[in-house]
Amino acid sequence: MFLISLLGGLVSPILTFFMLIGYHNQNPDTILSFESFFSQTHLFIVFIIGNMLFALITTYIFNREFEEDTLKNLLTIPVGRIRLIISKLVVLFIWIILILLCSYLAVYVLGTIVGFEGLTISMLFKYLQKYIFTGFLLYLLMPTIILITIVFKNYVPPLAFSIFITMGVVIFGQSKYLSFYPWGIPVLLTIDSQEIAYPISYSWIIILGVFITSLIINFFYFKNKDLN
Amino acid sequence: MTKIIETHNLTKKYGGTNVVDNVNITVQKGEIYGFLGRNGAGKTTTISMLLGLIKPSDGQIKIFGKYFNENKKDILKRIGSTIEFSGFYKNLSASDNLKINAKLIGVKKKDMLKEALDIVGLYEERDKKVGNYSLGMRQRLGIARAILHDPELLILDEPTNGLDPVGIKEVRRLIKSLAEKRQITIFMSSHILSEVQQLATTIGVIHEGRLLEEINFAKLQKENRKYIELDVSHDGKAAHILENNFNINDYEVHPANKIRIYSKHNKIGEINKHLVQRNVEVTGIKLSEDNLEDYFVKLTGGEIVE
Repeated sequence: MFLISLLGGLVSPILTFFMLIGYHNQNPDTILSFESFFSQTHLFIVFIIGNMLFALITTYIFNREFEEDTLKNLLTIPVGRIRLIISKLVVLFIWIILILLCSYLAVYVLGTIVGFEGLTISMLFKYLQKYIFTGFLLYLLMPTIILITIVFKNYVPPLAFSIFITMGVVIFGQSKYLSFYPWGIPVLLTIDSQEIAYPISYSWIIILGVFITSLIINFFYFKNKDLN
Repeated sequence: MTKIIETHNLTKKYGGTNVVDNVNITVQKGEIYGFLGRNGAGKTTTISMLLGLIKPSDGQIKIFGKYFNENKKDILKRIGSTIEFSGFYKNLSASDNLKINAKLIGVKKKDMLKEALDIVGLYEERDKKVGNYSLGMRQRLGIARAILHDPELLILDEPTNGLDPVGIKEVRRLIKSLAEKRQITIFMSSHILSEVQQLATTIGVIHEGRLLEEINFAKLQKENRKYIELDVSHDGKAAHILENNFNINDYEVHPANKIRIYSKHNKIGEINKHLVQRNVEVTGIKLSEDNLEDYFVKLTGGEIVE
């Protein structure tokens, strides 16, 4: 599953790569630049791929114990319920960051092989920070997926939800109300050209609020849930 | 004797229904307790409460003399369990699955894994992915996982569920051996009387959430053996004739000149003739139809699957 998810992380750079190559072939005067490669790849991740791919990984991590029926064994070892959630959250965070690093490296490698131009050390650092920061922001939204997963104990509802929220990002993408749409806030905070109509603090309050609230609900629900 | 498990008015309510209703179980150290009941009687719910997977609606649980709620972590470390069908990570080998458990429990002894797999007869299959295991093998692996940390108490929920006769025999042998060689107290649930019959020292019968009976199995068996009962005029003389003329020693003299013959034979006609010839009047002959199955049928008001 981990290897499959890394392949998922390569979708954005590969799609962007072919898009830029295709554009360059139609418009030979244009330059194949690392700047556009990094930024377009990032755009794909934060608008479309990120939410869905990370929701899939989140669902996999948290549904596994229900699917394989190993949860009862774990809890009778005993592994504490809260401790179980926290340890999976740690794994999820590392996994998300690794996927984004994979995307980042794919851009660098593909761009270097083909001969994209304009690579600088400062650009590398800038986009490394941006990719990791994007991962962090998308991670803050995953507890909502976790909650849906542990309530339904099934892949379909959380994945359906992730498609729904991704559509919301696309719809609200150019709207001033993006500041209030939790799953659009990573777009707002990581894309420089994005118009910010409301104070950034509102968005931070909302995204952190969603993270903390959904985490608390997760802890409370899972701790008190009877495991039949 | 030391009590290992005690429940006091243990109750679980779902909606308006008590699926477990004021159950008082006592399990002594070293015994095999057979928790018998039909499907849906409340066995798994009771076991889940004993293991902290379900919160009781009412009542208390004491294990190893300590209240469960206040000492959950310490108690669970001393228990090994299997619940219904044992779940494993199917993409990992048996060995890897057990290693995960060993790490989480903190098993220090190096060869515990080998020992556990040896006991259940799966050492040769240890590198096979659990996804390729048969149901019987997974049930045995579940037992291996349960005994990995050398627990004092084993709680097994329907350990032979879904197994074929060979698998059932193997698991039964395993359970018996664990009780005898490791002196582990075993609490096992089943809906199959014959399974419990062959293993349990004490039986608890649960029906519709209520514990109907908790009885020493040897005593139960003795009270429920098939017999032929003779009403005679002189029980002493009759007993003498049974022993000397028919070599029957498995009998009991009951009040009011009744003799119960337990040993199987087909000479009742001849016995009757002999007794009469020796001036022992036989005023009544009764064949008992009761046996264990009938006992439980009467107790639960239905049929238990055999």
